[in-house]
Amino acid sequence: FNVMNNSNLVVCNLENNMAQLQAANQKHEFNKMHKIVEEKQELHKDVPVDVDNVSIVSDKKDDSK
Amino acid sequence: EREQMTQTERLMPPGLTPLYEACTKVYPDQPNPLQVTTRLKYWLGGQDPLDYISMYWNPGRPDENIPPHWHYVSFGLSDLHGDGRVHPEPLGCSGYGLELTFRLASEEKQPPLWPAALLQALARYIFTTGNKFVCGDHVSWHAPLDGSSSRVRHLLVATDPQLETTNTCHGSVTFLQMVGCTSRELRAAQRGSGFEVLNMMSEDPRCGGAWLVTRTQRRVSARLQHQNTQKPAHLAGVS
Repeated sequence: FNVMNNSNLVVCNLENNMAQLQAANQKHEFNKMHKIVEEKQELHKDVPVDVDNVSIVSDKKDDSK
Repeated sequence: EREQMTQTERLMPPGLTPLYEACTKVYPDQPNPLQVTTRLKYWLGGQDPLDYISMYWNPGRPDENIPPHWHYVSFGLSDLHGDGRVHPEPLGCSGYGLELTFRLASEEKQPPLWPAALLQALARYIFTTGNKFVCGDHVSWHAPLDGSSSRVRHLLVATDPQLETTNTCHGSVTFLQMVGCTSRELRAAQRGSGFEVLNMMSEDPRCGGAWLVTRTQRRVSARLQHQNTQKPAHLAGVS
């Protein structure tokens, strides 16, 4: 039933609310999004950046040649 | 029921679980409270930012003049989900770093629902303006909080006496308690310090008592001392 004439607010118990949240996450693929974010974070962890060994590749042509 | 609740906890978003556990520590006999929730979630285009408002029955402590009351706890100002659907990447605190609570003196068997609508309105203010509340703040509401002829028409901001600041995987969360006050108490907070008014209210069981429980039917205001102009003003929490 509506809460204080706001038709968007309803009363339910926590257990049902969590079940509905899981259904909403699956429907809108939020679980998938979360996994993509997690994978991105894992990827950054696995690739250490060694600044000294980074070589710079220039696109400039050597006009003298 | 315990096994069912473990399954339910597995369904909880990671930023909610520690907050739920903090509530369960206070209310171990209420693992499955009634909640005010939203049909259309904020992160799917809805207008109400709080995903859930739990409503717990608190028997109070008669020997300490703390009356029986309903305790409302919001979930949604902090980052419950951690995937960017509401709050950007965390920077120390979870989302806005706070949740709102409210204690309503009542002996009704079912929780009145207007406090939940009140907390949603306050959350909408925070999301719209980006202004967070801090302890000691005052909020001019200019209407009876419960829609009746109550003299309790404004709010002060305190820390919840039972729910401590909690760490989640997205950062820390502080539980701020909204406390109903009269126009006289609001004026005193505006002129001086919200902290001093809260202290006076906490010393009078009719005005809130130690846990600052809102009594919408009260006619009295806290006995407020004359402002000592020689004493430096406590400006923390001026909004």
